[in-house]
Formats: sequence, C-alpha cells, structure tokens
Amino acid sequence: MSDVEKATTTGRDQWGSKLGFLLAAMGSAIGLGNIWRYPYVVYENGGGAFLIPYFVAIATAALPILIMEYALGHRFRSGAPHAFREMRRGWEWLGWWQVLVAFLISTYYVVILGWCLAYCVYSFGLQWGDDTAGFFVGDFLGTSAGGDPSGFWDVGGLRWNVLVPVVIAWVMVYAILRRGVARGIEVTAKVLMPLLVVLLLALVVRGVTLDGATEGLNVLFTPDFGALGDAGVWIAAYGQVFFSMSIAFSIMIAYASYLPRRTDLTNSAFVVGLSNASFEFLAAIGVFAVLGFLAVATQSAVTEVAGTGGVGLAFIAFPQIINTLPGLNSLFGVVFFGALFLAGVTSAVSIMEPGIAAVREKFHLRRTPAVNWICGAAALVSLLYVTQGGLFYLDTADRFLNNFGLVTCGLAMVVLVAWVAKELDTLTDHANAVSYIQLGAWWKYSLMYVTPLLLGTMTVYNLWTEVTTPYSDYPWSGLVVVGWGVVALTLMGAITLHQVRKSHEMRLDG
Amino acid sequence: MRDMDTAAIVMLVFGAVFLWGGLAVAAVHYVVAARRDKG
Repeated sequence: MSDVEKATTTGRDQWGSKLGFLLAAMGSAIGLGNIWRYPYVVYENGGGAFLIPYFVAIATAALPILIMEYALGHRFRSGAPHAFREMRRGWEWLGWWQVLVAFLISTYYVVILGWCLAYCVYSFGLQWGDDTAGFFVGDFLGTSAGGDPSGFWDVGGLRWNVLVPVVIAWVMVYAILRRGVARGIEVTAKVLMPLLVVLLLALVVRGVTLDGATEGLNVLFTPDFGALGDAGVWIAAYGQVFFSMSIAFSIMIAYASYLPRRTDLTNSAFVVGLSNASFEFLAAIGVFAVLGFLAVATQSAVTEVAGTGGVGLAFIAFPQIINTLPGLNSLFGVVFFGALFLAGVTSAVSIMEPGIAAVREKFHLRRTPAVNWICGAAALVSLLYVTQGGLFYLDTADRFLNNFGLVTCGLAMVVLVAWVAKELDTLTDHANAVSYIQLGAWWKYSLMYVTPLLLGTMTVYNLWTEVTTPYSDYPWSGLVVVGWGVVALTLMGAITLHQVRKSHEMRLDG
Repeated sequence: MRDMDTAAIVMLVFGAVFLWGGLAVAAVHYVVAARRDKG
C-alpha cells in the first residue's frame, strides 16, 4: 500500500515521498526574506565576518530547533496545538498561539505575492518609469499622505489594481492547499523548487557578469572582524537564522506529522537547514552584484544605492536596476519578480497549513471545509492591506508579529519543552531511533542554554527598542492598535481556542 | 573598476565551502542512509 493510500485509510494526510517532504520543507524555509533580508543583514553586520556568528547560530539554534520541531510533530503525529496538549494537558494554547501568529502573517504575505505578480506584468515595457519609489508608493499602492506616517489612520478605499493580483495569488494558494498534502503542497514544491533554483542561478550569472559586480561583492564580503565584538551582530545572526528557517511557526511540527514512521529526522533537518542557508548565500551574491552594477552605472557608492533591503529593495531599487541594464530589461524583471513569487508561494502555503491541520484536529473537519474557512478568513483580513493605508498596516503588523509573536512563541516553546516538561531526553530517543545521525550533548545543551539565552536577549532588546523609539515614526495609537494589539489578539485567541470544545476533540489518525 | 579584494574572496570561498559543501555532504549522507535503510 502506498503512503498516500495508507493516509487515506487512516484519515490523516501523509507525504507521498520523503523527497517531497524535503522539497516542501525547503520551499517553506526559502521565502522572500532569503532574497531581500539576508543580503542586508550580512552587509550591515560586519560583511564577510558576519558569516562566523551566522554559522554558529545555524549550529546552535536553527538546526537544534528544527530537529526539535521535527521530533515533536513526528512523535505526536499531530499539529502544534494537539502535540503540546499531548505533552502537557494545559499547553494547547502554545500551539494555537503559534498557529495564530502564522495565520496573521499569511494575511499580508499573500498580499506581497500579489505585488510580485503585478510587477511581473509591469516589467513588460518597464511601466514603473524612472521614479520607481513614486510609482510604488503613489501610482501602485496609492499610499495615504504619499507614504508619510501622518497618513497612518487614513485607511482610504480598496486599490483595485492591487486587489486583482492579490485575488489571483489567493486563488493559487487556495487551489494548492485544497488538493491536499501529497497532491497539492508536495507536487507544487517538486515543480517550483527546481524552477526557483534555475531562476536564481540565471539572476546570479547575469548579475556577476555585469560591470561593477565586483564593487558590490567587495562591499558584501570584505570582513570587518572588529564587528564580532559587538553583541548586536550576534543578535542579528541569531535573528536571521530564526526568521529564515520557518521555526516557531508550527509549520515544521505539522509537516513532520505527515511523515511516515521510518524517516531520518536529523539528516532531514540538516539538508533543509543547509539548503535554506545555501540559497540565501547565493541570493546575496546576486543582489550585491547588481547593486554594484547600479552604483557604477550611476557613479555612486554601493552604500548609497544599497538602501535598507526588504520591500524597498524589491519594488524600488530593483526596478531602478532593471531600468539601467544594458539589455533584456523586461526579461530580467520577469525573472526577478517571478523568482520572488515562486519563493513566496511555497512559503505562503506552508504558513497556512498549520492552521488547517489544527482546525481539522480540533473541530473534526474534512480538509476542504478547513481550507475554505482558513483561506476565506485570511483573504478577508488581507483586504485591509489592499487599502490606501495598507502599507502602514502591513509594515507594522510584520514588525510586531515577527519581533514579539514569533520570537516569544519560540522562547516559550524552548523553555517549556526543555526546562518545564524536560522532554529533551524523550525527543532525543525518538529522533535517534529513526535517524542515522545520533543526537547528543550538542543538541541538548544548545536548546537548554544557548537558544533560550539568545531568544530572551532578543525579546528584551526588541522591547527596549520598541518602547524607546516609535517604529518608523508611526503614531503611538497606530503601533498600539495594529502592532501590540495584533500580538495581544493572537495570545487571547490562543487561550480562547484552548478552552473551547475540549470534550469533543479527536485525532484524525485515531 | 577594481577586482575583488583578497579578503572578500577568502570570505566568499569560506562561506561557499561551508554552506554548499555542508549541503553536499548532508545530501550524500541522506541518500546513502536511505539506500542502506532499503537494503
């Protein structure tokens, strides 16, 4: 009997193959941040010297947490809420908290996918013109007050030119999720991941063969070893691996719960973790090569054209670079925004899956109604980001959900599992029973000491920054409602879901 | 336009060897272990 057939008989979804799981997990980890965040984190934190804390962070935080989430999902064969409930009866809320943070992140993540689709179209004929910043903030998003923070509460109407591509993106995400784990998520990953690598390689090859590419690579890789004495650089390294690897989202718990019993968990984590890191390293080479080209073409310093990364890099700096290229400009635009879209779509699907798994387990739903509810609710919320004030709300929600939702969820998970439940030995035995690489002191001590210390430091550091300096000069009322309010909402929602219908719960795999 | 600095090349190679080399080793190990498991 095939894995899919077995899954059908037990009622629980299962991956069709282990390769399919690996590609889906890679697709989840490799997202927009690998392309537009990582290169700037390297550049701003000691250049080539940053690789040292980055590798240490991979070894002592990213891989240990990834393995722990695989072991949790695989051992309890359920989504995060049920897995934590199985571990300790009163901890279901922690799983729901992760699920709700992921759900709210998905509401704006798919909006950005819509932007990528729109920019694929705008690439034909370079429709953004010469003023790429003015086009993005004004003509495309129609942001209130021209993007000035004073327009924060000016919600305005829906932007139809944004809504159409966002709806297309939602339809694609919905269609993938509705087809299920093996026929939807896995098949998509098997097609899109190789295509994404080909597109990225095309971008990198084009980038490094442009005049000025070496200028950008020098800025990116020339090491400043003095930066290693700065605690902020180490926090940045741990923050990067934490946000980049899809950990604390409850994604990997859900994905691992769909694995067959006999699966090498530890080696899978190594392959997924190193694939993600290798991808972003390659993306950084491509991004800074073309920034070097732009600097030489405009007779500026690379540091002047580099900007700050993120949305600005993709939708303002890159269109400017594409305008300046000596040839095949439109094709380069389609390849770049297409790569962003592909990287994002597999991640978006994975961010929604934990919610679907959790709702199915809690409310005994079949897959289709669960997908309808989750996607429908997320799509409705995402309309807020399609308004004229949408950019403000997206930026604020992203900042707070990442810095306080994800980091705090991760901290709570590691502390509860390692220190309160003292489950690390049990999870070690579980992972070692099915894996060829045997976990030992490295894994245990990383999770017991290094990860809580770093995540705790990040939480305090983020709190201090947020309290002393209003983010992006947004009004306090906006930060309280859209930032802190959203984080509080996830926690309250988690506690509420923990309380409801306890007596009717069941596990779909019986 | 100048060539890449030696220090930048060293760090580029360091990163590439660690990441891509590490990935290659992990992938080969995974495949070998999977075959041994089947056998």
